[in-house]
Order: sequence, then structure tokens, then C-alpha cells
Amino acid sequence: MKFAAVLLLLLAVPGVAKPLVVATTEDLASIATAIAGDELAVDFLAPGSANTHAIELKPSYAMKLVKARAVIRMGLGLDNWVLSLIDNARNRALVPGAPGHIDASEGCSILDVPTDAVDRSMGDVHPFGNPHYLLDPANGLVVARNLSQRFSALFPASEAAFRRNLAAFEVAYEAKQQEWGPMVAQLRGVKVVTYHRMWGYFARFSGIDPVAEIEPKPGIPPTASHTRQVIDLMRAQAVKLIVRSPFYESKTPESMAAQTGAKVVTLAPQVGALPEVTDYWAMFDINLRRLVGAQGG
Amino acid sequence: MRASLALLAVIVFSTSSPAQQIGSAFGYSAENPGISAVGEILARYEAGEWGGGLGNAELGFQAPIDPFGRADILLHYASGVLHAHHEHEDEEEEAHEHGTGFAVEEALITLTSLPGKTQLSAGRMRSRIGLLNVVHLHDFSFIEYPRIITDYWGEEGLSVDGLRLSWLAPLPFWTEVVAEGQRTGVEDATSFGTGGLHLFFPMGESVGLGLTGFGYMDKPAHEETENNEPQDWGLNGWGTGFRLKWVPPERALYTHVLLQAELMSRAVHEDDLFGFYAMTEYKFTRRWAAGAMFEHNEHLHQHGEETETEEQSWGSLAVSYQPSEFQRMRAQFDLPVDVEEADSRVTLQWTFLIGPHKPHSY
Repeated sequence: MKFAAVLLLLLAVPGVAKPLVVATTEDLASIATAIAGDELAVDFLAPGSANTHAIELKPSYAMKLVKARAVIRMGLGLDNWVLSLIDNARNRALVPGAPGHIDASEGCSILDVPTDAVDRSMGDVHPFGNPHYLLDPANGLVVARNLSQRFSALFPASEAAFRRNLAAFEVAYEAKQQEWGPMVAQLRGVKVVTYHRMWGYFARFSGIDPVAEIEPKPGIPPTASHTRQVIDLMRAQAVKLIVRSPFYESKTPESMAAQTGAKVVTLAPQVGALPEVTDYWAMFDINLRRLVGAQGG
Repeated sequence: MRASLALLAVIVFSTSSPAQQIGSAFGYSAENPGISAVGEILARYEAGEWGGGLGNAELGFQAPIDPFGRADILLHYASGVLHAHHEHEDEEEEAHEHGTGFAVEEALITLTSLPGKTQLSAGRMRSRIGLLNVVHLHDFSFIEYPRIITDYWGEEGLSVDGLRLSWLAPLPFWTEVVAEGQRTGVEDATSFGTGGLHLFFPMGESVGLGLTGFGYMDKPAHEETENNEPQDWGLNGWGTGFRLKWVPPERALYTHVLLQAELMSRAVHEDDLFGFYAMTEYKFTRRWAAGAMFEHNEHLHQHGEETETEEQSWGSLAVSYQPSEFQRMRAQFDLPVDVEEADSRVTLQWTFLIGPHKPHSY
């Protein structure tokens, strides 16, 4: 009897594993999961709790890419670190130019594209434009359409499912626009100071008005003199909100808030940055609620 | 038969060089390679004297060649300035020889995705023995390499002028087998081969453990046995080490703790020399980090006509300050624990980087 059971196990047809696609960030993985549905397995490299400007590259990340059929990246220079991981994974399907190398930023509306030459005297300025474009849900919709198209080309047998999932995503987007409308109306024109220059897209969507950053230049830690200047500006313009991301220190914003009577609001710049931000829509739900709550209270 | 046994014995370990924390800015334009430059200014106080100047400089050109491979060319200048302040005339003369001028440190082509999860590199490259040999000095937590690197493998560590084959084993964790070798027709050059294994185990999102082991075999060009017979291939070096790093993703800009140690053995003139280093680094703010290292090794010392094996131990403390991702100031104090004719010393280092500096492979 035991022998028969073992034989049955050995002869059992193994389940066919779903093709794996790997996103560089949890944000992209969230949208990719919505489009892939049950057709693909989706994984990600950098967790949402991590600052994508300071990723600790590990061989275990390259391991995730070894068997991947596609890699989805933010592009615009934010996640160029994935090129090194692709090299180490030895997976020709993922190299730049291959069908399995997907730059999600294609077709997105990009802010802060330099019109003149940039150099590092300006700080860590991205020469191709601000890469935090997923903080505008309109760009999330473009990414969803990109992924539906690219997945269909890579896995044509599942094209109908990808189209259905994209249609559901578009419906959800419209419904969320309605839901967010009243909160966006309350936030229009509200002045905020942000820690890092990464909230431009969210400002375009929500109507908040970022007037200064705590970092003197992108990627440069706060200095005492710059902090004093921002405090003066906050007093002059009656700025009552300071926006920080969970992966930036809280000491400087808290100190500035204490000196100006402002409130510090911690927002999620990407999926997974806060425990309750478990998918792409939840990121906007939580951020809008927190801002409205802080502004009203 | 002996060579075959040695070849078998050389299936040993080496580990990936450390995982790298990098910034966002590196990349290539469509037509031009990434061009980067690193400069290092040094000053040292030792035996009552200050000295210093330009220490090292590196110029790098790195880019994919086509969909199948990439090229890395790194030119390196070492002034030898830290060795240029000795009391004895012969040592001073020797010190000037430490300066290398600009030299090709690495120039290699790598075919990145060959069948069977293999990669092939050809050209000149830093050997992937152990954890640290592959790391460029400006990426290290201290100003100079530990003495098991410089005493056993050369001032700049071990370089390979030849081939490297790397294979990623089909296991659930990172397991990379690396074999390298050079065989030259030049009379005074040493032919050698290395074999190693690199393992990496993630422990949650914050902790990673790398393990390494390697073997080194060579056929010295000039050394002969007591019977005046040319030496045959032999296993003349080995090493093992670990690297444990804690970096919480949400605090990666502000903190990490690194623990790393390697022990190595190298046979020189029929003596088996042995040594180790153990180091730790703690980043405690976005700008500041501190490190401590202890090292102990056997080395050969010339006493007139006689060469003797001596032991030495050093302790080092370093503090570094980074105004941005692209420049770093460091102060290091070195204490000779059990070393003849050596003084404690203080060294200051200022390192700066321009251009897109591609992270080194691990």
C-alpha cells in the first residue's frame, strides 16, 4: 500500500509553474499583479519600505531574476542598479533591448526633465526627469496599459486575460477618481514642505503645493543653514504641513514643526512603505486621508 | 598525478565580493561608455613626521558592448606616498618603487549570459579570491588593504591576466563556482590558477551572510627546489571568510553594521605563511561611520642575507564622514600590537568620485 502511494506520488504530473515576472519595486509589482491576474507569478526586488535611492544589492536579488521571463523597471535612472543584477543572473531574456526587459515609464507624463545640462553640483538630479512618476495615478494607468501590451506580446496565450484585467483596472481607476474627488478638493493649494523632491507627481494629482524641500539639494542631507531658511519661509508663507517618507529621518522635520507650529505627516511614496499600504490604490487612499486629516485637524 | 590532485584540491571557495550599496546615478548613454574617475588625497603622521599628497587615482570606462557582453577598463595610479617617509635610505629607495604610475588595473570583456548559467571573462582583472581582493581600495572601509592581501598577493592584491569562468549552480540560494587562471610565456611571470565558491544566504530583508573559500595553485617561474629542479604545480594558497551585514531597508541611508573576517595561507619559499583579519563597520548617521579592524599575519622579513618568518599584529580604528554620496573624509589610527621597528600612526584620507561609477560585481 505504501509502495503504491509512493509510486502514485512519483508519477503524479507536476503542476506547471506560472511564468515569473519580477518588478524592481513593490509599486510596479502591485500594478503588474493587477494585470497578470492568475496568469503569471509576480515578484519584486526592493521592498516598499526601502528607499530606492539606496538599495543594498544582494546576490539573493539576482537569484530572483535567474528564472524570470521578464523584468519590469521604473526607468529614468531610478533603478539602474538592476542592470548589475541582470548581469549576475545570466539571463539573456532580461537584458536591455530584449522583449523581457520592460521600462514601465514609456509613455508616462514626466516632470522635471532638465532643459539644460545637469551635473552633481545640483545634487542627485535625474537627467531623464523625476522618476517618482507612479505618485500620479494617471501614470499608473499608463503603466498598466504598457504592461498589458508587453505581457500580451510575451505570453500571447493569455492575451485575453490581460485585456480583461486591464479593463478592470481602468474601471477601478475611474471609481477611485470619484472617491478621491472630495479629498482632492480640500487639498487644492495647501502649501507643504517635503523632505526630498519626490512629491511633484502627487502634487499634480492632489493639488497640494510643495514650496520647499528639507534637503538643500536632492540627495544632500539637511544642513543647519538651509533648515533655518526653510523655517523662515514656512513662517512667511504660513506653511502648516511637512511631508516626509518613512525612510527619511524624523528628527529634522519634527524639530522644524516644533519651531513653526506645523504638523509632520508621514506619507507612503510607494506601495509597502507603510504597513497598511498593501496595493497601488491603497497608497492614494492612505496618503489623501492622512493629508486631509492633518490639514483639517 | 600530483597536478591532478592539486587541481582537485583547488575546487575550493571564494565568495562574492560584498553586496554593494549604491546610489541612483550610474548609467550609460546609447553611444558612450560610463566614464568615471576616483581621486584620493592622503596625509600620514608617523614617527614625528607628516607626509602626504595624491595617493591613488582611478579612471574607469564601463559599458555593455552588445547584448552578449560588457567591457570594463580601469586605469589606476598609485603614488606610493604612504611609503615615502622612512628613515633608512634603502627603505626610502624601496618606497619610491611602490609608486606604479598609471597602469591598467583591469581591462576585460565579460560574456554575461552563456549557456548553462556561465560567464566568461578574458583580459586583466582583479582575482576573485576571498572577499576583499576583488574590492577596489576606495570601496573598502579602511585606507589600506589588510596585510594578508598585500603581503601574500602583492601591493595591489592578486590580478589575473587570463581567463575567468564562473558558473551559477542551480540551487535555491546563491552558489557560484569560479575558476581563474593565467599562464604566460614570460620567463619571470608565474602561472597560476584559482578556484573558489561564493555562497550567499539572505536572513530576512535586513541581514545577509556571505561565505567564501578558495584555493590557489601556481608554478613559480624562478623558485627551485633544493635539488635545483624546477618546481611543479602545487596548492600554494588557500583562504576562507565570511561577511555578515545588517541593513534595515527603511533605514539604509542611515545605518548598517558589517562584520567581516578572512583567513588566508600562502606558501612562499617553502614556508607556509598564515594570517587573518577581522573587521567591523558601523554606520550611525547618514554622514558618519566608524570601523575597527584587527589583523595578524606571518610574513617574510629580510635580515641582511637571511630571510626569516616573523609575526605581526595591528589594530586600526577609522572614522569617516560623507558630505554626500560622492566624497568621503576618513581618519584612521593604526597601532602596532606586536611589531618590531614600527610606530603607531594617523592617516587622513579624502576620496572623491565623479561620473557614473558602476557597482563592482559581487
